[in-house]
Amino acid sequence: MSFQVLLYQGLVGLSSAMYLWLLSAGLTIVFGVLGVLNFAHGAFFMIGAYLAYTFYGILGFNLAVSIALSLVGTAVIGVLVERFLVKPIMHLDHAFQLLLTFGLVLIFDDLAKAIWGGVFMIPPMPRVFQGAVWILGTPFPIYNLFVIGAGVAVWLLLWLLFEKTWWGRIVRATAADPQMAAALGVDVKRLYTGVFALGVMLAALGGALGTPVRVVAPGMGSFMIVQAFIVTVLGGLGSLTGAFVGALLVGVLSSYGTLLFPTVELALIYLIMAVVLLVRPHGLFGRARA
Amino acid sequence: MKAGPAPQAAATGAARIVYGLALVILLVLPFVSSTYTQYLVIHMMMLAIYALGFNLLFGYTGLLSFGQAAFYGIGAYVCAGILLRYPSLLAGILGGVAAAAAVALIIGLLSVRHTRIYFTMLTLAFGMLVYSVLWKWRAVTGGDDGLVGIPRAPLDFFGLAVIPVRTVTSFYFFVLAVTLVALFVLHRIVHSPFGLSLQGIRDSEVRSQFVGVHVRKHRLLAFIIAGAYAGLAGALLAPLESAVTPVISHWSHSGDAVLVTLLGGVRAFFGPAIGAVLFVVIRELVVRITEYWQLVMGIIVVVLVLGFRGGMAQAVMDGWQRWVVHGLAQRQPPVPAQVQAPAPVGQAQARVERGEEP
Amino acid sequence: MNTILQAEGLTKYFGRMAAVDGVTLSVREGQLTAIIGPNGAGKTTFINLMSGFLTPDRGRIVFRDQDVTKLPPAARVHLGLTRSFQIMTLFPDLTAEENVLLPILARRGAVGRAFTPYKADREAREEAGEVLQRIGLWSYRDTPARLLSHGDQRLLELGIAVATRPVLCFLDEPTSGMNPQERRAVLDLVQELSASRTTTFVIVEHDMDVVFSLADYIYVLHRGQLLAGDTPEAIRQNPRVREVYLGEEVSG
Repeated sequence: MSFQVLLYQGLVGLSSAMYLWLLSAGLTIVFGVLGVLNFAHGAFFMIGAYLAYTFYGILGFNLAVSIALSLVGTAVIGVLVERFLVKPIMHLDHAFQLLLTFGLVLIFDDLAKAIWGGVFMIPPMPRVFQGAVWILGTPFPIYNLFVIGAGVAVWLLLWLLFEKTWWGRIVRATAADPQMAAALGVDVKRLYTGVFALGVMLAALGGALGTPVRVVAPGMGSFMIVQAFIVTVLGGLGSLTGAFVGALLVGVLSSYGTLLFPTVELALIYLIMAVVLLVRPHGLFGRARA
Repeated sequence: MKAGPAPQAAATGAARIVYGLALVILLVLPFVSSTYTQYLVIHMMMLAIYALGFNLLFGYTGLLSFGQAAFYGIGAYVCAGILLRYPSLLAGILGGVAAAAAVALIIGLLSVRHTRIYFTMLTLAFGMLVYSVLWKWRAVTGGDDGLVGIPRAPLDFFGLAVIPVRTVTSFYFFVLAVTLVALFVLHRIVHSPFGLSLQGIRDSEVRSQFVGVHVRKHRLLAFIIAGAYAGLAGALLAPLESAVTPVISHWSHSGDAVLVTLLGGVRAFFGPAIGAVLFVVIRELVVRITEYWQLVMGIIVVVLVLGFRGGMAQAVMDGWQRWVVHGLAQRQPPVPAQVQAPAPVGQAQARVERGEEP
Repeated sequence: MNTILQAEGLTKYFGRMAAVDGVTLSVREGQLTAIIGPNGAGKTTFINLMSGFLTPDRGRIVFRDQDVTKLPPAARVHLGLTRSFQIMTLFPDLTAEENVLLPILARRGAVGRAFTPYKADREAREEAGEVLQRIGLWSYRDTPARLLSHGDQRLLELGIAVATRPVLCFLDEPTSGMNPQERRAVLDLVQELSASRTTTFVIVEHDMDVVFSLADYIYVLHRGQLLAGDTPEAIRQNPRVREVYLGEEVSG
């Protein structure tokens, strides 16, 4: 097992972790602010991927434009879902939230199959991203490096958003005490819609970024959502840093798992979560809540 | 999760007539319908067993498990494994149930110390863990091909009596017998002091501790029973289909238990059974019209959660109860609800449960 | 009279603040004891420690010569140490009868039984009936607890605590939010049970009329510490107690 192989596998793990991170980021933000656990969050990941594929792979738009358009499209759908389906269940027991959003998963998966058909092939890589970059003597695809960069950038931007901006501060205040915020004049309903849209766009970004490298298929969202749940719980519900670290942990360990223990690899992520929760019942960065 | 009042005794008389009728229909069915219909009803009964066990955990104990499919799969695979080597239906079924219960014990020990979301997430994760083991452990489980050629072995009472169940009809009666026994046992459990303690735990974990109930132990027992029931349902699958594949352990199949229970009613004892019937009927009808039956199911779930939170049996029972109690007036009607009273109890109670000062 | 409950140097921190700070007191069997103190004195935290809801950072609790400091709540209940709650924690979807029946079944060691109907346990049901009649809720026995009026829910709360037949029972502000009749009912019940020597009550209360009319012995807490412990008459005269209460009222 040479160093180069190990390095390569680690980098691959990092880049695949980014998709998981983006999906988990949205999930944890929506939970942290609205208190809603959304099983159907993966559907937005899938929609983002499908839309981006449609613009880039079928209609031939520029990749960046395709991604941007898919974010917008998914956000629109997200806002509609939030307004009509999420608002009524916000104050319900989490069990009913999971049940309703589980129903949404069934709906979205079948809708995707109905609209777009079956499995799609991977479209060609844009020229600017073709080729590999040499890291410590190991070739690594440029696009994957770009994805890692994008993921880290999103983490920094989100941190800036919630810590340093005016909107971010209002969101955090509302998350902590919505009644107080409302009393102080915050339009809590609109804020919730905005936050939900942000979460949805993050998921869509995760899906869209995968267009040149990953297969688009119905059920891809459902496949990822379980892992995203685990990452979110592992990192601590409501903690962005936790989601980031959790995604990295899962992505990298899974990658090494595929290399070193191929039969166990799939089980690894669930084992990790079980172990972490045994030691820290509220996740790595979580606080007692819910 | 406060979905409405518990079923009152005034409705029991009429309910008994309905259940008696259902039993008669089930007994007569094979003589008036096709093999395919019997096959469907067998599936309904297996699904009912699966969901009834789930509801002991959800409706009665207040724990939402999204990993029941794991025990279903274990029950199925262990039964399959036994039947392939030692063709005794009894051994297969018992083995499947025992294995599922054993694994439920282990997973339960690790999970019941957590509550609410964390519990649900853990069960989801463990469920997928079992799924991935069943999928990847080719040597033992056959990988994604699963196990095939499982014989529908005869019911062998240790050599004393051997009853063949090769035909669909004979297997149908076997499953009916098993279902009735399972129903009876669960009914006993639910109406026992233990069952009452589970409901107490659901209503208030803190209060239960303070009346002397060992919450964790009782939760674990409920989890094991639910796992055993799921295992029983799975064990029945193996000889029925003569093949088992890993997909039966996927979390979406865990979702089926949840869905079925929701359809029929969380708070009614027979709710999951009614839900099982509805689920299979709807699926059969929808599949004739469109391949997108999941879409239809999803819409039904969304409508149910938004509308009838308690499920169809609950809605029917509430309406029926109002009619019967109003009409027969056998007991004092409940004190007119002081609508303010429940809310403070709920919120403040929730705060106490989280360990915060009131 | 022998001491049945002893708290020694009980301390509990929330962050850096000591909600209960080195409290040492004892309760004698059959002696109706009251714990009073201004808001924030640590009364509720103290009950939480004594009943097992919280674990102390320092100190010991001895109940009937047994060290119960590390025991979980359910175990303490089985030894005879119970409490009622200021915020009602009833079983909302269970009927009034079931609310009271559950502790009785638990006490009799019957909650493990899974194959016999709980309705068939005649002795338990009779006992539950007695409790319901004592608290005046017999006619509501089949009503789900959440449908009862506020005052009735408080009575039921007391009924549940009493149904565990405790040797020692902490009552956390049992009369708060009640009208005079309901208050009378609760106090009569407490006095009756206390006089018949079945249960020793320790009451945490704000209402001074209740305290001084009922209690045989009073402890005063202030800022987490034990300020005084004496008979009601002596407490009334105690200058430090007067300062804490009257001084607080003037400045607060």
